[in-house]
Amino acid sequence: MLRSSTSTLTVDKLPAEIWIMVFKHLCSPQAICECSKVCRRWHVLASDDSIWGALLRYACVDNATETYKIKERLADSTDSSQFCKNKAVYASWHRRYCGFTDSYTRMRKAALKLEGWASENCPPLIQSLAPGLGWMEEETMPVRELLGVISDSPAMRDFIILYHMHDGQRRRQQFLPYGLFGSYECYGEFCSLSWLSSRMLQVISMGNIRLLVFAWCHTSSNYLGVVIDCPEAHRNHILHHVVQLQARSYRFVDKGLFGEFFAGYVDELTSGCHDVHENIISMFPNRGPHSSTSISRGIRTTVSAMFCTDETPQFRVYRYEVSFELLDPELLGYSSVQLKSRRWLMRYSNDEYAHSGGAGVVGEFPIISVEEPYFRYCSRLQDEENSMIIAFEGEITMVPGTLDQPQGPEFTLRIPYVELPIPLEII
Amino acid sequence: MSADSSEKRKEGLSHKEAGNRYFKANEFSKALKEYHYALLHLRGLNSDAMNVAKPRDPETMTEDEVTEQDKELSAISSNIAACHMRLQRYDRVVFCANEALKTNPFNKKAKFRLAQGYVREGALGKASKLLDELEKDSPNDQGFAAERRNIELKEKQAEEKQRKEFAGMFDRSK
Amino acid sequence: MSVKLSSSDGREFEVNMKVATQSALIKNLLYDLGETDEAIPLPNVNGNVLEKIIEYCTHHMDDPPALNEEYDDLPKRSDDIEPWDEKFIDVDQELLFEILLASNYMDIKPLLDLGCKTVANMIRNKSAEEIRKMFNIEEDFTEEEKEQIRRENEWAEDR
Repeated sequence: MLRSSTSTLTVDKLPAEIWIMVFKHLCSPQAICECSKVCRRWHVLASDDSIWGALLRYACVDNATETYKIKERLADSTDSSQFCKNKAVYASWHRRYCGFTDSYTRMRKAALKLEGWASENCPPLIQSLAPGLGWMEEETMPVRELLGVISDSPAMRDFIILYHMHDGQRRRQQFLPYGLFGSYECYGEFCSLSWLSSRMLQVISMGNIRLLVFAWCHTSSNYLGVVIDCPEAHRNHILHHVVQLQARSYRFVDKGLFGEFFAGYVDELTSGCHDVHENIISMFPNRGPHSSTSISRGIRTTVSAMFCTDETPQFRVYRYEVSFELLDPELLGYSSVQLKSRRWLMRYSNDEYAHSGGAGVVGEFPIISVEEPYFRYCSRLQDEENSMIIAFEGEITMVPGTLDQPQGPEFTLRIPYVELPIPLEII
Repeated sequence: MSADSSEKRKEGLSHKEAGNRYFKANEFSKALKEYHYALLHLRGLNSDAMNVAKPRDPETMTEDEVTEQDKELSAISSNIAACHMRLQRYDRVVFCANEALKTNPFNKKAKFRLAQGYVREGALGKASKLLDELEKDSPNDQGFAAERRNIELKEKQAEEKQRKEFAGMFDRSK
Repeated sequence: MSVKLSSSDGREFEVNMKVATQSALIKNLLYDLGETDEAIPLPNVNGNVLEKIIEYCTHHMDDPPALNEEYDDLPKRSDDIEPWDEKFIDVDQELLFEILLASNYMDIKPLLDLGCKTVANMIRNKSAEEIRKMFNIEEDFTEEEKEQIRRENEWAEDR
């Protein structure tokens, strides 16, 4: 076949470094492999270690244990293509996790982020994260059980591979205070939602919905599960979603597809959405649609509300957390203030309002000072007999100095309007 | 292509030599110009475009994988850094030495210039690390030892300054 | 503020400083040598290619400086070419490759990226045979080599 000599020169005019840049822009292993079938020169260039090194980093495989094992195996072989190590590593990884590569990258990114954040902010959490389960080729019971229960969809592949990264949280005793999915304390009851290991996973039924529960709190029957079976009509909406469910009343909060839920939750943690005090992660996010915050007189007041998964089936019950933080003592003008009373305004679905209030909060009259600048408490609220509560706001009255010895006129801190996370209902 | 490139190469190399002459004669601004012109002629001349290139991973690359051309370009950038040293433009020393190292990570002269630049720019930690690497290969080099002494001197000066500041603080609190 | 550039075939172009300094090569030179009336010689860039380069740099004259992306990392996307750039780079293969070479020589990262993206888009989703036809590349494998390479790359086809 005749070929124009100028055209051939065109392609060869570009030096290796530019072709390598072009191949990197392809971003896809399939396309780059196709390029190595074009001619001898492209075969070498498209196998360049820098391209495949970048792909390994992009897929989050670069320093995984798998990579080390694969590199060891390669070092032993007498393959002539030793200078294309990264490509061989990538191919090995791709074969091993065939079908799960997207999930691998997604979950590994989240796991690495979580580990990094936990090392700095919550060391007991990272110590509690168990090593992951083996992969398919190894004879590991729990993985096969997982496979037995789960169907083959991207969300469930995310689930399986996450357990390959970490097999939940190790618990020496029944109750683990450093639950990955957060904790709270309300009227003396301490709840901690920890991540269950594969041996503890349970399937529960709720009418025509089946859930695979993967996070549980023993003291409060709070749990998170993945919907693994539901009626045809709901398939598009909640199949393989994570839900926070109230067992007896068929109400739930939808938290999205498993992979998105987990990656999203890790993002929340790493961006500081959940306060951490003494290694305990607050289950209440300090921002988002169901929280509000305001700063006045140098004090930041934050409220965050959450649907509760215990209690009675007749009413929806919510927990909310209020926190005070003294940010600027100079602006406040006093070295300490004491809480005197609270006042709430609740809004209902029929546009009615109700007031409530009283002295102190949860039976306490906390003092906020330079030495103890932080106070938080948790309480509950619920629907009325005939109408649904949808939002609330309030005021806290503070007294400079102490209630016994005031050092100035009292003032109020606003708790701005917050909308409650109203659960969906299984019909 | 070859006839054309060898012309350019010649021209580029002659600019480089002119630069070297000016440098020896302490005419650094003129040397700078020659070196830059050398780069203009020598960059982009691809000797191995027709050959099958050997893949290079920047992390595991060895010295003999650096092309002759890259070594040359790196040396010129390093000379530019040397000019800036004499003209006391220390920020440019750092920039140009870094450029030289990007082209040839094994260019020892460039590494040394970079260390010198860092010392004068106050980045003593970075300078120290570089000197560690250089001294590993040539433990008896006088130039490196001189820079070491420079670093120690600067560190002492910085310590003195801090001590004076803290002394002031304690007096105030009394 | 302007500066003169001269191409390999002797053509001279006078351009705004902001246009010329988009080339890191020229920017560094001017930084070190200061203002000059002399034309800066660009012996590795042909007149018509330099014209195209100047066209690009003129259009992007007021762009904010790009973020310093990690040198070796993969570019995040290939489908975000703006319309003006798309029209600009819609040229025959030969000129496209010359632009790539020149932007590499003159160290103009955004234009180099644009060129690479464009060539990558030409390659993507094509079979090896189609790529050969497109660039007029001769297949120089033996039958055995061809088979070996096919096997070597089999894994990439599975998802």
